Amino acid sequence: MGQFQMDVKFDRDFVVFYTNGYINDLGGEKIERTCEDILREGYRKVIVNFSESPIINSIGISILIGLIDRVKRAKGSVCFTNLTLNNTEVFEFMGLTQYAPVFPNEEEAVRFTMGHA
Amino acid sequence: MADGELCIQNALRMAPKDLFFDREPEIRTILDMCLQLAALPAQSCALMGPRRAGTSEIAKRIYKELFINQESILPFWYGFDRVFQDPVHFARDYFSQLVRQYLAFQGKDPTLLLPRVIRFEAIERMVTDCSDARLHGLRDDFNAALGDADRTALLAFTLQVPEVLAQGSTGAACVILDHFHRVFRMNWSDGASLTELFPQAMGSPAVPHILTGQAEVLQRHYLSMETTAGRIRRISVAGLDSKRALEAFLAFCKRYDVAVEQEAAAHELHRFQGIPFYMLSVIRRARQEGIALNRWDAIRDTYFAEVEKGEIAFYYDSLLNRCCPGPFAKRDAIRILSHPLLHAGSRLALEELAKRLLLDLDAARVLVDALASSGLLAENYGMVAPVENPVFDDFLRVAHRYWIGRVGSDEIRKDLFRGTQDVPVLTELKKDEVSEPGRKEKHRVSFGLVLPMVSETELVAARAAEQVAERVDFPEEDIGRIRMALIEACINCFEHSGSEDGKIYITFTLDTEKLSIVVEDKGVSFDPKKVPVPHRPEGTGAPSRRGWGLELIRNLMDQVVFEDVPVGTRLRMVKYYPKDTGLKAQAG
Repeated sequence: MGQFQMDVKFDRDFVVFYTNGYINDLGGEKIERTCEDILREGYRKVIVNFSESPIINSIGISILIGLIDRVKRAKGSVCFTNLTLNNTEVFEFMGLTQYAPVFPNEEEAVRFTMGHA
Repeated sequence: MADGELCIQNALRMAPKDLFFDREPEIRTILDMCLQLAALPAQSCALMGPRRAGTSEIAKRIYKELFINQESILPFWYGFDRVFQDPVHFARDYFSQLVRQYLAFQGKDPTLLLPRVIRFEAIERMVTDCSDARLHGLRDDFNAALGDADRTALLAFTLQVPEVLAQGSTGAACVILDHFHRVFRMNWSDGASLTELFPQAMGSPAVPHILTGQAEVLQRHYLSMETTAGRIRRISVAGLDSKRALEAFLAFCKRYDVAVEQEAAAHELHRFQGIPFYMLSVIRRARQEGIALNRWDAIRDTYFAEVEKGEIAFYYDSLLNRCCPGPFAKRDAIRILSHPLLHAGSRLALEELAKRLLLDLDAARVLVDALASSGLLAENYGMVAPVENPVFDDFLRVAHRYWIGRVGSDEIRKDLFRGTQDVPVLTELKKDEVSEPGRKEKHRVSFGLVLPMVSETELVAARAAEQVAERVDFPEEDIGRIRMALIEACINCFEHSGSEDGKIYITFTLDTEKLSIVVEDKGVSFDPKKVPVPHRPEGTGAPSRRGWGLELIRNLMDQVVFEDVPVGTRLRMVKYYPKDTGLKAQAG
């Protein structure tokens, strides 16, 4: 698994993060920094697509918890898509899904996000 | 005599001298047995060894020695290169070869051994031209047998020819039968089979026979017959020992003008099992592609290229093709041979194997029988077991991923080979495979892995865990859980051990019911009771950010225990195989 990378797609009302690679402390921090920039630009709705990140460790998840916290405080919403079955299981176990819903694909996440207008 | 030696080499298609590595001890043992013939009856024997161990080459050199360096024993050599479906054709060919060799030996004229293929009429003329009245009589008797409709009598007479020739000359003979396993493919409707008739010919104390061929086939179909069991001595021919194997590898590299470092060669030598064929395949590829074998990873990568698509792959693929009547059968054969439980050392009942792989029982039986007949699988008492052949295992690993896993060639290389360049996961795992003391070999298999505490090294551990977990019937989601638990265990070591040696020691153990993973460091002890339990959100507030590692491990694995060790921390994690594999029942 190579160096962690991330692409961002900007829509009118929301952004989608496309993570690529292992999400550990370094990957998580990159997501967190990007999220801060996004919030500063006025976006409040974030979708994270994990299709290219099959492995997420507990430190990476803890940073995602911080990200959820920050977006919530900014009166925004976060949702996750394309998680592996194992990662979904872990997210549920850690209680993340109560704050950030998980969708099997990006289309459903977008529908949910737009419904939260 | 140099020309004579060359004639024998060409006639028998012997490997060139510089590509045949010293087998003097084996050759001497068998020769001693033969040379005692005058004083002591010799027993027929079968040279048994792993595939491509070189038993044929040893047999050919025994023939050459007997031909050149002694006069009291008639040497005969017959290679079952062709599979005859007519007893008359076989009888004429066998008779021709033996008579020609007799004339060559008696006349000390090895040129008579060439050309390799000769018409029966030419042999008849050679006999007519010689002054040996006994030989004339033998030819006439043979022609009379040919004219008779009784094919069994013809074959029986033909197989006795060495004894008849010996009685009329030196009194003793030695018959070398190369690739004898092909006899089982000669099936004819008129006349007894060769397997029924050869035991009688081999019974003569003055005419021992030396057989070469696929060990498993000979053992299964010939040596265990009522007429042969206990009467034919089995001589085991292993691969070259490590010292001779290293000498051979270096000599072959020199012969092919391929750069090599002795240390690198010694490091990777275990792959070749002392079998020159594997060494030569790798060296020829290195020469063809201009690869210098002066680094161990260059040897390893060239070896894997050979296993993936080189001569080694072609060789084993051809064997599979011969066993499988069609493409589906070949796929099923690979699935059978790669079944993780077989590789974990279990013996499986044929019915159970068919059930697990969702194969029709009769089709599975035919396939297993064919694979066992080719020595690719062991089958006895209705139980199926793998044969010890690490090179074939490597071939299967690639074939299974390519054909069954439908993983692209590039992906396989990336996963299996390139990914191991920095940290040789696969290599080290395999090399460190050990048997548990006091347990039957392979019922419990352990793999050791030592990793430096550097960034993302936990991914290497995770990759190793996947490889180990794939050897048994873990479903994909369990493999993911094991992978994640191990990643967390490694991170725990990074964060808490403060280890001076900066290493993590991981041991994977597979037994009949579970996978155990021990993760150990030599740092400060870790007290799990002192780790606060992270909270999940209940109504308000986000979940705790830290402290989830241990909690996750406990959730992902079936058992998690911190064991007392004098120094550092040892965490043992256990995952049981899924219940429907039936492994727990087996263990009980």
